Amino acid sequence: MTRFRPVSMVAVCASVLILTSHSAIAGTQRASAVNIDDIGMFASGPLGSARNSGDTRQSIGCYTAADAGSDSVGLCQAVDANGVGRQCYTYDPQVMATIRSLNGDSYLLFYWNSDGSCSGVSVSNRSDYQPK
Amino acid sequence: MLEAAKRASEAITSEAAMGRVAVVIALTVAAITAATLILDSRHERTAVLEQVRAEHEELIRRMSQMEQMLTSTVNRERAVAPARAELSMDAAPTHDHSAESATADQRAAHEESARAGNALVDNAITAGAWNPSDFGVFVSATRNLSVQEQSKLLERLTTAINANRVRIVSPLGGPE
Repeated sequence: MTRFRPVSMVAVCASVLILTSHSAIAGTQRASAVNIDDIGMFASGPLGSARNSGDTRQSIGCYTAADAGSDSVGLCQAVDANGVGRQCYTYDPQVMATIRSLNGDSYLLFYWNSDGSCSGVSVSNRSDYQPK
Repeated sequence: MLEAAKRASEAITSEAAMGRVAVVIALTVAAITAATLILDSRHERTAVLEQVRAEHEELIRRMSQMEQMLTSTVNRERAVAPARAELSMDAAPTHDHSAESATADQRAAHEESARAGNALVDNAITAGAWNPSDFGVFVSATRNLSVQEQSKLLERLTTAINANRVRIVSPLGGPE
């Protein structure tokens, strides 16, 4: 019959403790890629994961611009790992407000209409998305 | 005997008279009641008619107010309408009545914006590539166009991108 020596027991316990404590400190993490769905006419993905992705193609985000005296315009774009790009534009003040809540660690989801205008934009700011 | 017969006859005559009086009173009361009901009905009808007439007048007054507000809004819209002519389907610079009333400088600025915006979109479609950093250039170049005109240009560009006819290139100029 094999007997565990005290030193081995301590090593095993320490390993378990280290492994479990790592996940406890890290919290929930998500690292999904930029996704484009032409049937649903939407694109989505976390900004941080897109930036940190292994390929050099992925990107997702929005631009806002306004010239003095003119209406603000927003443009959201996504490029997936295959280099396929989609975008939508908007002048809608409510959609613009949502776009302005975007930050470097957000998760962005945008829908487009057949004329290229944005039918909706969603921004999630959560701890489990990969930071830039 | 004769006396008894006389008293009986007087009693009968008195009862008949009382019966007639009762009938007359009943008829009078009925007539008064009917007249009262008719009068009440007329009063009620008159009150309802008055109410309907008042509501009608109020409705006309409100419609008149709304008409005045609409006229005022239309006049204000016409007064502040920018000298921004609607672009045609191919987003070519055109004139409309508002553009004609604008100054020559405004017309020139408008045409220049339309030309520059069209050139940016045409170049992107011809090259099959759109650099997002050009968005700022686009907004600045098309500042004299209306939202509708800018939308037409963005629609041309965006539908080309979403149909895979134009690629979005990396803003940093790296491989995409």
